[in-house]
Amino acid sequence: MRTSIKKLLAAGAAGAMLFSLAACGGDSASSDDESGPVTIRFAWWGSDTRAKAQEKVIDAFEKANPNIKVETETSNYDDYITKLSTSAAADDLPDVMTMIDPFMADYMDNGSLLDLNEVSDNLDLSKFSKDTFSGATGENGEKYGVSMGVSSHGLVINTKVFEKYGVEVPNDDTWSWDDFENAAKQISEKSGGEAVGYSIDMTEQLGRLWLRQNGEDYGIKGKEQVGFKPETLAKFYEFEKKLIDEGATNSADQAQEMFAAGNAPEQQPISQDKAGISLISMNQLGQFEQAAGHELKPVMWPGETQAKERGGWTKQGTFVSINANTEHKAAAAKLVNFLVNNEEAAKIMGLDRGVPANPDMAKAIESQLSDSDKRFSDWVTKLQKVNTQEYTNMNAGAATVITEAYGRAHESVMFGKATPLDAAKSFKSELQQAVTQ
Amino acid sequence: MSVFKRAPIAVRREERAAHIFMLPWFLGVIFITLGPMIVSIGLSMTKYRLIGKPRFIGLDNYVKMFSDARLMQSLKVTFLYVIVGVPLALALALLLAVVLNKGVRGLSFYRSVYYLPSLFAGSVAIGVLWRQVFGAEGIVNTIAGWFGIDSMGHSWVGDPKTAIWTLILLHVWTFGSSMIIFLAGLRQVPQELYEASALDGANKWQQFCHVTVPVLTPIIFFNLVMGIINSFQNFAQAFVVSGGTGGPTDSTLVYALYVYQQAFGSTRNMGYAAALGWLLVLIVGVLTGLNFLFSKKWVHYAD
Repeated sequence: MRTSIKKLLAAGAAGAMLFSLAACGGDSASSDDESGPVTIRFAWWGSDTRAKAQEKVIDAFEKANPNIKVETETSNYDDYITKLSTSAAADDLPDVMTMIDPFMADYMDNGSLLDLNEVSDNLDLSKFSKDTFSGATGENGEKYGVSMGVSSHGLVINTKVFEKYGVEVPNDDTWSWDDFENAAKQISEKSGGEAVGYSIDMTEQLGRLWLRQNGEDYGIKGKEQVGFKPETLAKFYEFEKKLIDEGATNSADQAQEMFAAGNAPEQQPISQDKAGISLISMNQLGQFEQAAGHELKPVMWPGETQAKERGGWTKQGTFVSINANTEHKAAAAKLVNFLVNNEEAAKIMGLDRGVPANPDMAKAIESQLSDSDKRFSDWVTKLQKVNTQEYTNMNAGAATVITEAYGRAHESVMFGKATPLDAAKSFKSELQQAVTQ
Repeated sequence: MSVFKRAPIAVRREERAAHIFMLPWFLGVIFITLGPMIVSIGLSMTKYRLIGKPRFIGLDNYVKMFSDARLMQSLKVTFLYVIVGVPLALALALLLAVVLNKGVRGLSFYRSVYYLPSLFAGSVAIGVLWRQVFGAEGIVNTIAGWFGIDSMGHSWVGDPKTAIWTLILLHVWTFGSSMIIFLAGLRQVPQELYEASALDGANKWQQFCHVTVPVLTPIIFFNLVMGIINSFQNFAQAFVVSGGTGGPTDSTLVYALYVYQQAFGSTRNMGYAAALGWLLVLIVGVLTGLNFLFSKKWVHYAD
């Protein structure tokens, strides 16, 4: 009897020791010297094309850092957002992950992301100008993400459609909203129903542009307040409604169907030569051109030179961030460093996530750019030059609801369920609620 | 000595085997269904945005429901979907079951063909297909064109007036599973009842109304209850057809989709979503209860 208790105690003690040893192992891995091999997780959103390129970059990274193994996770944008928030709830965020403003605001507020200043030994941020951290900067100058590329939504013109129906391509450096309307109307009329002038966009991009051109914006910097008058947004809704009624655009139901189908480049009227003007995420220009079989012309926003102030903006298309609770800070920082500062990586990715914000990388890939890449990067450069107005972020609660709340208000106008003013008011009150929540 | 006789060893063995085989199901119910259900009662009384910790707020989520305009819209859409879709699907199922029961050649073939949609109509692929079929350049518009109706370019899924009807149609299309049950039921109708009614001079229609339907009422009742419960849970079809938005203008915002949006959409009101889940339990529970109550008036069980 006695001996068996003794044995049991001994076994228990041995077990406890094993446990503490294991814990020690964990500790040493989280310190910065990292002698043993570690495994980190890296998650991003995007297409299969992106995934293939990204895997190549990871292979190169693992070769250069034989002690670090990277497990990858990828999915499309919507699923990624859902998956990431459930991982956050389960305290199981990946060590390294792509982020986007405004979606990342929640994670910043919550302390889920690492201040990259803390890992400056392994991550060199010296090449990134201050404005490339806009949207990822904390209240005390924390840097919660580093840019993987500059991009923006923008309008493209299908010059082939313009030529086919004998409509003059407007000068996009100076075109007004009237010019935009006229061009769109003419294409619809002259094509006799084969094409529309403007493939109407269901997102909040143009609405926001309009507000900014009028000196307003969704938010007011540093204030828990919505920064626009419903009357101003209502004017834009009226303008869009007029475009629909004149037949300058496709019908609201067609636009809605396309929006629900997920906006794949090859399904868009602009790449089927069925529309003259369309709004796209400009880093996809190459894919749109491939789908169209000819080049498309990225243009400046209409109404900029006539407006109170220029409304356009450029922003970081994607940030890469580190989980604040990662056990492998150094390894994660090394990976991020490789993603944003390594020439080989930059060359593999090209302009997939936008023009690299690190000027050295942008230069390194210059020689390999295709014609459509060049059109895209020239457009970004030009936009950055002319648009000096700051991009204001709203606080976390409000920033994340913008897209859906705007979408609903916009739809209700397009389908005649609400007057432009009522819709603008309800959008504003939804934002106001989210801001103060 | 016990007064109870112990079961023979072979029977006990069989019982044990049965329990072991049922174990996976029990574990599933406890950990995958019951566990989350209990947790969700707790969550429904918190503000919980997934990122961060839940914060207790009492019954606020339940109070909020009364002023939630989108919830009202979603209930309207869901009730329309159920009230129109379920009876239509049942009627079609019964009709086809009666026709097939007449002894059509190749019965098993037709049975399988009509049953197929029930198997995969809830899938994402069918949602995508539906969007194409009722799209601006879809096959529906093409066929309408043959009959001189020019609806080309009108998107049935993109128009708030028609979008929900495409979903209702999709639901009706899944009549197959009820049809199979009706077919089995029709086999049970005593032949002598038909013979007797024929002698009394009843025609086919009268036979259907006064013999077939009364005998089938328990089965109609079963299909009705299951149909209502299932339609309240519709999610995938509405999600895919509307691209997850419930649009246009919330016209396809069925209840489960709204719950999902609250839970995983931009606002991530997990607590509110949990409360909405319990409201659904309440609604379906009350409806099923009413169903059973009224069933006494019209369901005849042969004794």
